[in-house]
Amino acid sequence: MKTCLIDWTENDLHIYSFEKKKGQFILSDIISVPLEDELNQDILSSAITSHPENIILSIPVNSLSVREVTFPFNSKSKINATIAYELEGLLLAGTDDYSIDHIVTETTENESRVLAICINKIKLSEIIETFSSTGLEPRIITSLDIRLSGGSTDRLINKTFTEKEVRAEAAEEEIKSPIFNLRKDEFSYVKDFKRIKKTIQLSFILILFLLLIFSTNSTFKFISLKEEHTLIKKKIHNVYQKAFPDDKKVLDPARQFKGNLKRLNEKISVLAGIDVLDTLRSIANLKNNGIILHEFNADEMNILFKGTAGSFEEVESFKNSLSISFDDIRITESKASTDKNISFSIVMKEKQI
Amino acid sequence: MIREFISDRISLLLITSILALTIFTITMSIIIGDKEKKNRLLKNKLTEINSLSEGLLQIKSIVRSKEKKIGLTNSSGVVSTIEHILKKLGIEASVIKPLEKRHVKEFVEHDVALEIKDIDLNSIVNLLYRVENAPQPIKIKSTLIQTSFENPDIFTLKLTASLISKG
Repeated sequence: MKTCLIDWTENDLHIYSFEKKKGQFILSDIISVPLEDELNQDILSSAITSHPENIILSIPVNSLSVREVTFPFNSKSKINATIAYELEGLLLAGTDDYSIDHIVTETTENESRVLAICINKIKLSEIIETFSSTGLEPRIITSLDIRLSGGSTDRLINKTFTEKEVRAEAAEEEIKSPIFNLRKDEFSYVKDFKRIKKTIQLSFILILFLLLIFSTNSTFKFISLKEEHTLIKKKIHNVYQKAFPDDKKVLDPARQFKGNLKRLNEKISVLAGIDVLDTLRSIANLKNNGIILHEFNADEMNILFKGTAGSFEEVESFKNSLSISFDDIRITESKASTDKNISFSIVMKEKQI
Repeated sequence: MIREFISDRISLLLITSILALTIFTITMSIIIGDKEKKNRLLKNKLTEINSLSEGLLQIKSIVRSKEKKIGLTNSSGVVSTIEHILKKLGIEASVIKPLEKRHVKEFVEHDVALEIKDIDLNSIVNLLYRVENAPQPIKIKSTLIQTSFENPDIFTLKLTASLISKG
């Protein structure tokens, strides 16, 4: 990232370019332009060809109004809050017409000496406009002279700091930690903020677009599910009506269906006995080579039969083939008899609807 | 910075829209999830009653036929009904014993125990067929068929039948 400190003095314009490498600012270039007339866009455009990402402007001390103020306290927040009132009457115009910042030059236990740095807002606006119009909007507006004077008004008035090397060192320090910044309140640097705002807004628009797609999809899905719900309910109703056409009062067809079925099952358990012939036919129709039945016993609960088979496998196979037509099939007895046959007993139940 | 961002009209509108749509989408997702669950349950119910309705017709026809028999018949008694069937088939029972009358729900069951010895399989089938399809509302409650030791083609049949009437 390239950082540039534009050192605007009374007679010259120095541009110190720094490259940030491993957290250190390394001076890469110094350009000096003599100022014969007032600083203008043409001079700036010719002096700075590249556009650094970060610009700090040091303005000449004669553009500033500097006042020393003493506070009977050393709280920074209190100083911040009261400095404008303290300067009232000390400036050529009202404090509202100035952009003010300060540096604390001396602090004792219950006293603070402060150097207030002020610039007329109109002038500040013109400076910012001049630089911004050439695409060099400064992020911070400070003064190298005030840094070099160490906050002393005597040194500021009596001494000039013209050595390039000294100013370059001060520029590096200023980049690292600006001593003050006159871009405050309505003059705050907002270029980055605007860029970030634009990016966030664009991201928000994309999110909004995605959410719109999601919500539209959800809405369509909801409508289709609602239709499906109605359709299934209608189908259940139809099945019920087909099964029980005489029942006109249908509130919950699925529950009513089960209730009616239960009632019919209870009735059939009384009215219908065991279907012996059907059971015998089902058993006789099975492929049960080698199986001989000797006893068949059926009641309303269980069907039991006893027989003989050639092997245990035949018994197992017979049991498996019964599972097509019967439930709960259990081999209750299975043993080899003296004639090398296997006698077995099977208990099972009729399949329930 | 955040305050300035929020105070911007477009940003505020975007944030509000995103919030509203997020709430809407989340609410819809919850409702959809619930609806899907309900539909799944309904589908299961439909499948269940569809499969149950296949057997239902059979149950209904049995119940209807039995109820019709009960309504039509003016039966003389369980023993005489069974004796009538046996006579028609030329089978002689060694035991015909009337059992107790029992009230089951809205019906009365009058049981009879029957034992026939030395009967062949064909006669058993004919007898069971006649009992099951008798014009009287008779049901078979239990059956025991055993082969005899001497001849595997000869059987002993023990049967409990019941004549049903309205209580």
